[in-house]
Amino acid sequence: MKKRILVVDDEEGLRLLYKEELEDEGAAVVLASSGPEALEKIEKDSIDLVLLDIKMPGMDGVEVLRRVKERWKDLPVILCTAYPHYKHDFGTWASDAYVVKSSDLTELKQTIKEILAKRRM
Amino acid sequence: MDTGLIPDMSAVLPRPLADAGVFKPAARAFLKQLPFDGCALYLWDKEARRWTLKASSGIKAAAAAEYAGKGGVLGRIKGPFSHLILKGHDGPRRAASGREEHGTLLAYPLRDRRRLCGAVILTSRKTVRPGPAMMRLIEAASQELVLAVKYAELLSCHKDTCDELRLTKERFQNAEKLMTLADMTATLAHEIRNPLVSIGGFAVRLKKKLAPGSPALKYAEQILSEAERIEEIINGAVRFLKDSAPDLRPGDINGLLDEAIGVFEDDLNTQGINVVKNYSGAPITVLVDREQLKIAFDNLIANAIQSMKGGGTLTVATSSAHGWAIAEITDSGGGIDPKIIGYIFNPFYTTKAAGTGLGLTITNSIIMRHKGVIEVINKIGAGATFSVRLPYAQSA
Repeated sequence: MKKRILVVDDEEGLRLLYKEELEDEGAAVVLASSGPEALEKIEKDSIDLVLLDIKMPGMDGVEVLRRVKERWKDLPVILCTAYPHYKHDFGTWASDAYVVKSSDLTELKQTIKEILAKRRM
Repeated sequence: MDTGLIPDMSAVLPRPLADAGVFKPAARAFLKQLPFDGCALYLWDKEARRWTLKASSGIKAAAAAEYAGKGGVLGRIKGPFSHLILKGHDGPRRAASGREEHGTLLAYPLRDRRRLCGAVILTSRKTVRPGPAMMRLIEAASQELVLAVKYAELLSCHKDTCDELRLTKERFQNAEKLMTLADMTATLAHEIRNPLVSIGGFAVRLKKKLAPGSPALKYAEQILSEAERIEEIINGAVRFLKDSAPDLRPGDINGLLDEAIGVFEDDLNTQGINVVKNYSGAPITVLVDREQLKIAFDNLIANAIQSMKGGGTLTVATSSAHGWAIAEITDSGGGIDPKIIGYIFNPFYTTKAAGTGLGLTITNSIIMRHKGVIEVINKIGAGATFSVRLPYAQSA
């Protein structure tokens, strides 16, 4: 069965890019442009993995991470950010992985594969 | 007695000490109002323990110098005597009338309260017997002169203080500039990364869909390569901002420079650049973060090489002095345009078409984090020397 990945990012360009790239890799992609929308989608659909942007207006990624882990502690979340300094923010340690955004998506895809593989077990 | 001496002396007051105009009018004022025909003014240098002649009027230079020299008259007023009057200081003479005549010399100390700061010598060919009134006048005029000297000293000290303050202000403003830049760069880096990931990511997707060898594929590749270049700039800027304090370990400056030069071996050969190494004999150990210092030296050497496109000489020299380890990188690239030399350390300032403008900014930041100093010695027509000073670790 296809894995369902939720992409949460306030940038339309990035949502589109991730959708295309991950669908090419064989996943089904669900999109959310904000924290609250993301939480809604997780409730309604079954999601296997969340790609979460940190800096978003309104509810930021760290807050979304906290809420997701509170309610669905087994749902893996990968934090994506343009800003490497967040590595020092304790809130981000709760995520399963932390990737710095780059036009080269190799690292991101590799991380997704590893996490989904772990989940199957 | 004409007391115009005091107003004349006050008129001398507000002038800088270096201005010879202070003392000459003062000397003349003495002579105008007093029955003397020669006047010499001296300052006493307490540190060097020496008299300096500042002005004389009516006294031969040789005589004025003699008074101030070893065994001269002035040597006799440093002590507790308030002044000295000499009769016949210039030897016995016969007046036109045939009578014997004696000259008079009055040596009067200039004291700032109890501190000796100078002296007045008044000479006359005729005998002068200064009475109490004249002495009081001379005392008052001298005090005015002392005031002038002290005022000039104060002005000089004030100027030094102002200069130092200006320098400090400049340094502080530079530091502030760096700080604001840090905030802005962090925000900018973040804001730029998102659209950049889009651009680069879609360029990759585009590439996959285009026929090999087609012009469109080349365009997609170009877009991707430029996007990657921007990413490099951002990464460079963010690295520069990282708060991490340098990881300091002892390292030999000579070795580090050699390593840096080694990196550029190919470029040096291709461009026909001759390398001259003037290293200090013994190794110079400094506490450095090797990674960071490598970047600093790399930037300086790269710049030097860039300035010598048609070949030239790259000179690297190391030395130590006064607790500093000094590394100097000199090129023969003709020097830096004086109009822009003030900007070269500014972030994003570059004269190169493909430059990021961060090289020297980062180098400066690294050296500063090591508590060092970087300076440029610019010789127009010859070349520029970048001099890096780092605190010298005493233990080898």
